[in-house]
Amino acid sequence: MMRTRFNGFALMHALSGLGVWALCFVVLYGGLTIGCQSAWAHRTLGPINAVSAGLLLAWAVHAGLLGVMLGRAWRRARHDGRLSRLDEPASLRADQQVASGKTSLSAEAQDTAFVRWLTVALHATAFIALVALAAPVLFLTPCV
Amino acid sequence: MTDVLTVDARHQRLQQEWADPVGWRSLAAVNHTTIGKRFIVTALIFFLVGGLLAMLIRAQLASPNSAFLDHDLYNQIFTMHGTVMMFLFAIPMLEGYALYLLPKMLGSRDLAYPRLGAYAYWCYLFGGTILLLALAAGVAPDSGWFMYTPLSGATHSPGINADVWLIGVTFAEISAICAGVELMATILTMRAPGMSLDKMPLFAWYVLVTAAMILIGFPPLILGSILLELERALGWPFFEVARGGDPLLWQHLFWMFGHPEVYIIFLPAAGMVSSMVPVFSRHPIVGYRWIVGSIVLLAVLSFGLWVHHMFTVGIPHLAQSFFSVASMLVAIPTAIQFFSWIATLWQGRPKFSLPMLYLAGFFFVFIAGGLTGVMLALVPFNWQAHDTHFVVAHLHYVLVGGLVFPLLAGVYYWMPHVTGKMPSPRLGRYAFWLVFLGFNAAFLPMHLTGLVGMPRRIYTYPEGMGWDSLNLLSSVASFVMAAGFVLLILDVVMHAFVGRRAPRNPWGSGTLEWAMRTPAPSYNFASLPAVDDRDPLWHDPDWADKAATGRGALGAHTAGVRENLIVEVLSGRPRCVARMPGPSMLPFLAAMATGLFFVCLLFKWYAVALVGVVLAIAIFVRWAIVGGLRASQSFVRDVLGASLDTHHARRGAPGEWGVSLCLLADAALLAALFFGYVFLWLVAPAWPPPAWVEIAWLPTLAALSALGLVLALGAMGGSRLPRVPQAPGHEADQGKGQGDARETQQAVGQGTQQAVGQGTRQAVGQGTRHGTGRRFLLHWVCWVVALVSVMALARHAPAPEVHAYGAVTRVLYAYVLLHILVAALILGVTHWRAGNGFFAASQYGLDARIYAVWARYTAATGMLVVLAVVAMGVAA
Repeated sequence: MMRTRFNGFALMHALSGLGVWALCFVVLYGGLTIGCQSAWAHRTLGPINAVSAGLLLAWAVHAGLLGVMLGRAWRRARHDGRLSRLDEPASLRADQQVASGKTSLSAEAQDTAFVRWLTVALHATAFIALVALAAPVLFLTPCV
Repeated sequence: MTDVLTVDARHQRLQQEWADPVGWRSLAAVNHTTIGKRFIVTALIFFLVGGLLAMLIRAQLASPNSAFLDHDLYNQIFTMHGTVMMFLFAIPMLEGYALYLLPKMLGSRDLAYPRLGAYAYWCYLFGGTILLLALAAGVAPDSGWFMYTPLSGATHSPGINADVWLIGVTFAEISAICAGVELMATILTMRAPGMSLDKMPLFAWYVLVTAAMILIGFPPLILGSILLELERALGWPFFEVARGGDPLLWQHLFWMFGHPEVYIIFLPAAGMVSSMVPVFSRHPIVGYRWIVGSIVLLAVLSFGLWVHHMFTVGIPHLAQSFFSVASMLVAIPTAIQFFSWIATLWQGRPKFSLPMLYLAGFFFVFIAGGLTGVMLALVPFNWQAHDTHFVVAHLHYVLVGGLVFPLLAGVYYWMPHVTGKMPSPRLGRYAFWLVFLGFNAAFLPMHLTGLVGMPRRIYTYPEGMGWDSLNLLSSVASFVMAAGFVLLILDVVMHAFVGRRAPRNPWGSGTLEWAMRTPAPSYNFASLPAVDDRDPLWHDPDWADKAATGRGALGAHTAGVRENLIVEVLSGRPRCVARMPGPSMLPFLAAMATGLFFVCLLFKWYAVALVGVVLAIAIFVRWAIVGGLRASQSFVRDVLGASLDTHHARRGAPGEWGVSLCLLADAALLAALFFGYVFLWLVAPAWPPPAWVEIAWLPTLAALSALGLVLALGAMGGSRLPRVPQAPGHEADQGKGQGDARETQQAVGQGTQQAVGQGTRQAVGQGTRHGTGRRFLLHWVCWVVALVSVMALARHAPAPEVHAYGAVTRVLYAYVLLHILVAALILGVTHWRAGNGFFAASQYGLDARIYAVWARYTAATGMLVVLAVVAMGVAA
C-alpha cells in the first residue's frame, strides 16, 4: 500500500474550493466593471444583457469546476472513510510505527480523515456561496 | 549531561537555560512568555489611553453646543480613539494572548522564531509611541481612523498629522505581520508529538486562521499607506483625480484590510470562548470539525465584504449585491459557532464561574451587534444609516461584544496562570455589571440617535434635534462603564498581592497550558509527552507528571542547548528537533534602526533615513549570520523511538516556513498593487495616456531573460545551491556541543556513517565545488542583469509626479528592484556562510533553500510586473 504524503499542500487543497469561490467573486466583480466600460453594456443576447450573459458564463465555468472538485473530494472522503473504519483509533503506538517507518495505512488514514472531511465541507459550502452569488446576476440589471 | 534528575532539579536546570536576562539586559528577552506579557501590558496601557479619549468624546457630546473641546482637537481625539483601539489595543492584545498561550497549549517550549517575536514587540511599542507623542504634541492624526482621501491628502491636511498616522500605523503593522508569521509557523510545526491537526485546541485553529488573515489582510493597508505617503511627501498622484488618480482607490485598499480586520479581531476572541465554554460546561466541545470549517469559511468570506463599507460611493447595484450577498453569508459560519457553544452548554453540566458571566455578556452583546450587521448588509438600509450614529453603535456592539467581553473572560480565566493567584469573584462580578450595564446604556441609545439622523464625527450639535437626552444618557452610561473597567483593573492588580494561591488547573481544563507550574516556567514543559486526544488533560490526567518527570520527548536536558520539537504538519508526528536561539539585543537594535528610518521619513530627513536603512540591513545581516546554525551544531535525538536530526537538515524547517509566509504577505501586497493598477486603468479617464506609453524592448527582454533564467535554474535544482563549498577543518567541528552519553553514541554512529560515505562525498565534493562556484556566479550575473534592466525600465517610465500611470509604474518597478536587492543580499549571506564552514559538504543548507524560495518568488513576480507593464502599453 502506498504511503500517503502528508504536508501543507493537503491544507491548501482543502482551501481550494473557497479559492474558486474567491476567484469567481473577483471575476464577476471585475468582469462587471470591465463589461460596463465596454460596448457590451448596451448589447443583448436574446432576452438578457450581454454583460449579464458573460457573467453567467463565467459563473457557470466556476460552478462546473467547483462541482467537479466537490465530487472528487466526496469520493475520496468516502473511500478513506471505508478504510479508516477498518482500523483502530490512531494512537501513539501507531504514530511510533509511522515515525520509524514500520507503518500500515491505519494511522495515516486516521490523520487524513479529518482533512478529507474538511475538504468536502469547505468545497460544499463554497458551492453554496457560489450559488448565492448567481442570484443577483440573474435578477438585477448590470451597469445601473 | 543526562542523568536521573528530580523534578525540581530538572526544573532548575531548564529554567536557567530558558530564562530571560534581567535588569537592563531584559531588552534582549526573547522568551514567548515574556514577549506575550509585554504585548498584553502595553496593549492594556494603550487601551487606557483609548478609553480616556472616549471619555473626552462623550464629555463633549453630552450636551448640545458644547465648548468643552474645539473641533480641531475633537478631530484628533476621535481619530486617535479609533486608531489606538484598533491598531494599538485590539490586535496587539490578541497577539499577546496568542504569543503567551499558544506554545503552552500546543505542548511546545517556545515559538518558532523567538527573536522575531521580540522584534515585533519593539516595532509595536515604537510605532504606538510615535502616535502617542504626536497626540501629546497636538499634531495627532485628525482625518478619521480610516484616513479617507482627499481629506487626508497634502492639500487638505498639510501638517504632519496624517503622516504620523501613515508612518506610525505602518510601523505597528510590521509588528502584526511578524507576529502573524510567527504564530502560523508555530502552530503548523511546533506541537506536542501526536497532536495532529484534528487534535489541536480550537484556540490554535482560530489563531492559525487569524494569522493567515493578517498576512493577507494587512498588506493592502500597508500599500495604501505607502502610496498616500508617497503622494503627500513626493507629490506622486495616486488618489488625485486631476492627475489620473482616484480617491476611491484608498477606500478600496483601506477596506480590503478594514473588513477582514473585524474578523481578525473577532476570531481569536471566539477562540477564547471555544476554549472556556467546554471547561465550564464540563463537556468536550460539540461540533469541533464544524467549528474548524466555519472558522475557515468565515475567514475567506470576510475578504468578500469590503465594499459594504462603500455602498454609497456610486458603485453599480449589481456589484453592491455581490458584496451584500457575501455579507449575509458570513452570518452562517458565525451562527455555526454559536450553535456549537450552545450545544456544548446544553449537553454539559455548566457551572457559572466568574469567566462565564463575561461569556454571557459576550453572547448578548455580540448577537445584538451581529443582527444590526445583517441590517447594514442590506443595501437600502445601509444607504439610510450610513455615516450615522447607528453605525457607531453597531461597530461598538460588534467590537466590544466580540472582543472585549471574551477578553475579560479570558483575563479571569488565565489570570491564575500568569500570577499563580486566584481572582476575587466579588469584585469581578461588580466590574462585570458596571461594564455590561454601562455599555448597553451608552450604545443602545446611539442606534436611535443614528436613526433620527445624527451623523458620525460631528464635534457638536444644535439643540432641538431630538438628540439631547439620548446623548446625555450615552455619556453618563459611558462613565459607568469606565468605572467598571477601573474596578476590573483594580481587581487584577490587587489579586496579585492578596489573592489566594491558585491550585494547578483551577478550572479543571483539558488543555495543556494548565499542565505546568503557575506562574509558568520559561521552558513550559520539562519534556513533551505524546498527545492523543483533543483534551489531553481530561484524557490523560498524568500528562503533567509525565512532562515534569522527563517521560516525554526531549526529556534529556543538554546544557547550553534550547531544544524544541518540530512535527509534521498534519499528523503531528515528530519530524526533527529545533535548536532554538537565546536572548539577543539584535531584535531591539533592529527595531531601533527601523524606528530611526520611520521617524526620519516623518520629518522628511531622507538622508538620515538612509542611515536607518543601512543600519537595519547591517543588523538583519548580522542576525542572519549568527542566527543560522553551523553544521557542527547538528545533533541527533531519540524521540519516541525515532532518531531525529536538527531542523536545518530537514526540508520544511521553520526558516523555510517563515520565508514562505512572509512571501504570502508580500504577494498580498503585490496583488493589492495590481488591483490599484487595474482599478485606475478601468476607472480613471484616458488611463494610461497613450502619448506617454512607450515600451523599451531591450531592457524588457533583458529583464525577462535574466529573471526567467533564475526560474529555470530553480527548476533544474540550480537555485537551491545544494552542494556548497566546505571550509577546511569542518570535520574537526563535528561532535562539538554533543554533551551527553547518548548523543556521543549517536555521534559515533553518525561518524561511522560519515566514514562510509566519506570517499564518495570527497569525490562528489571535489566534483561539485567548481560547479557550485559556477552556480553562484550564474546567479550573481542574473541578478545584476535583472537589476540593471529593471532600473533602465524604471528610468524609461513616465515621470511619477505628472500622472498616476507613471507613479504606479514606478512603484511596480521599485517593488521588483527591492526584491532583487534582497535576493542578492540573501545570496551574499549564503555565499559568505558557505565559504566559512557553516554547512556540511553534502548537505542542502537551510540558507540555500531559503534563498531558493525568495529567488523563485522574485523572478516570477518580476516577470509578472514587466509583462503587466508591457500589456498595459500594448493595450494603450
